[in-house]
Amino acid sequence: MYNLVGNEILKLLMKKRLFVVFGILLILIGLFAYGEQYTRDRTEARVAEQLGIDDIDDWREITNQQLRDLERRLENPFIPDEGRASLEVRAEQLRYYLEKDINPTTFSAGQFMSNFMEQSIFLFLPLLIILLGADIVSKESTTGTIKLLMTRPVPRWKILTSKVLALMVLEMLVIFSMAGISLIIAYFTFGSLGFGEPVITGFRIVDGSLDTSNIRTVSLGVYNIMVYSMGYIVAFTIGKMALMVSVLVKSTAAAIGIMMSSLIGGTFLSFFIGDWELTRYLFNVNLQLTDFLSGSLQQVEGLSLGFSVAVLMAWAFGSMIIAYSVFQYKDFMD
Amino acid sequence: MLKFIKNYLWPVFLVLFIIGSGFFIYGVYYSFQIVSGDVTEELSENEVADENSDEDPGEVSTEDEIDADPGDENGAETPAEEPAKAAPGLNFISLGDSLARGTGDDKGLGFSGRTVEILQVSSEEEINYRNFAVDGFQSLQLLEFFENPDFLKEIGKADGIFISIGGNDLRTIQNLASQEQESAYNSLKKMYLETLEETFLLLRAENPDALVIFLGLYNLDYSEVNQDETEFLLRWNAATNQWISLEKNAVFVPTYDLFQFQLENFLSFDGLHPNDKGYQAIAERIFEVLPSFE
Repeated sequence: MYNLVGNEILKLLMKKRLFVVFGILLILIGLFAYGEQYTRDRTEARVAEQLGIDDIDDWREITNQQLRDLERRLENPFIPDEGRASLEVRAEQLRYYLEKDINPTTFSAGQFMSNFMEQSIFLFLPLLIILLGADIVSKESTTGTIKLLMTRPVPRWKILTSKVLALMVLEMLVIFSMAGISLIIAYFTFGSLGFGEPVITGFRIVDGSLDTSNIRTVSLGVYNIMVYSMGYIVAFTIGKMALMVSVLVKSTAAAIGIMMSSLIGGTFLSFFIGDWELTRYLFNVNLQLTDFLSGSLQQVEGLSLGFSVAVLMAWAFGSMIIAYSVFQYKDFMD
Repeated sequence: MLKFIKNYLWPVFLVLFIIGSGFFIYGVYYSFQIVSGDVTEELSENEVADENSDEDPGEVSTEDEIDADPGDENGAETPAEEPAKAAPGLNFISLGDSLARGTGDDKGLGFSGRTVEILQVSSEEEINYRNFAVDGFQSLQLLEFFENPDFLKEIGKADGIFISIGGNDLRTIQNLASQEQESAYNSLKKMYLETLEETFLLLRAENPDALVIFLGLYNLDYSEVNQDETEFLLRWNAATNQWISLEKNAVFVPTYDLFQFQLENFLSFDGLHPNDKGYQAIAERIFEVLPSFE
């Protein structure tokens, strides 16, 4: 088994497509970082112009004033509890910036990392996984090497299991390289890591509206681990589904096509029939796991982190069951 | 080469995978904890402790603590106050939006705090002052405050009540297309005046004698000369002025003229709220119209 998995990983690593994926990541993240820097410079210049000052280097004064403002607001005994919680975390954030002498308007590599994952978790990351995973079985069908595999004295389920495990390692590799490349590029662009910065999280959705009574801050480092774990859950699910499609169809192009169209088509579908209750069981709708952490409002009602993860897992295991039962009995010899 | 990769490189990936899994399990576990809101670790505990101390407005300890605060600001020690009206000195409170709270003021006093400061100089009696304004408040939200019995107690004690409200109501029409603004303005103003009436009914039921000092709006949109919006603002002010002036024991203090030529001087960083000078100017104007308290 150990050798089988090693073999599969070797096959995946030898693929040119892997380097295509790295290339895409490099170019995309580079552009993203450049764009971010550019817009930030522009906004800064515009704000400075609006306020009639040459430079916003008196951020300390402004932040101090904001902080005093928040603290004074907290003294009011008649503000509602959820308002109080959000004031408190915002004050905590500002205090951190003042204490560590960080200009709160500057952007750090850690923020870029989490932003990048939040932006790519529902489309870009699945696309990469599909690109890598959709041919894992079908390619062997196309080239005929599957026959060689089948003639070896190993049970079929072991062969598929080795592929599943190899794909899981590869998914991890993709997530790691997303983190690594964005970290390095962003560090050179923005100049600070910022993993200690406090990030606001802990939103809940109660009766369809955002509940902020429970919010708190975590450090940006921990937040990044959380965001990238959410990314891995998505990669895991999409990988399993791609594997299933790859078992079902023979040609790699067809496998990639099917996966991509269901990914994009499902997203459209959720836009059009968002009211329909069944849409929340589509995998597409549940891909934006990071939204639960960052508190962006959901477009589909009734979702929660637990629900979404459960739906994604159900899709993953459903796909696995289909993949295994088909692979066990499929005739590869024609 | 292949052999090398197979024997030595792939275990590296395996180790990477195991480490990564550890990270991700931690991440998922932590995410769930945070989202479900039952993180009982280091940070949250202190916070909860902090929060509890000033969470419940009904608690007596809170009242004392906050009562002591304005005393410090006025440079005089206020002993813990009796809840009844027998409290010595005059009681002033401030209600409404960010202007009443003093956003943009470096000293954080706002026009109401500064008025009290000026009053304190000439008055022999001690003046207690509390600020209950909340940033971004609209008239309806202020009305909701009157459901709170603790708040009503404060109202009952007051000799003077500063109110600034309506600016945030009016600002909601700024984002509309110009052809819709007229009708939106009319319905908004109707609602606002009704809310104001209701607010005054509740206020007067609790305290018929207190002097209400109601602040007029200054120009919201100073950056561009926008005739339509300025017109709305003036009409709004005129309607409020008429309504307030007809009330007993209430005075409308206009600010539009005060800010008209002084926007550069009187506005703070954010370009919306007054700065120290702006608040001081308002306070001085209020002082001029105040009757003498005895």
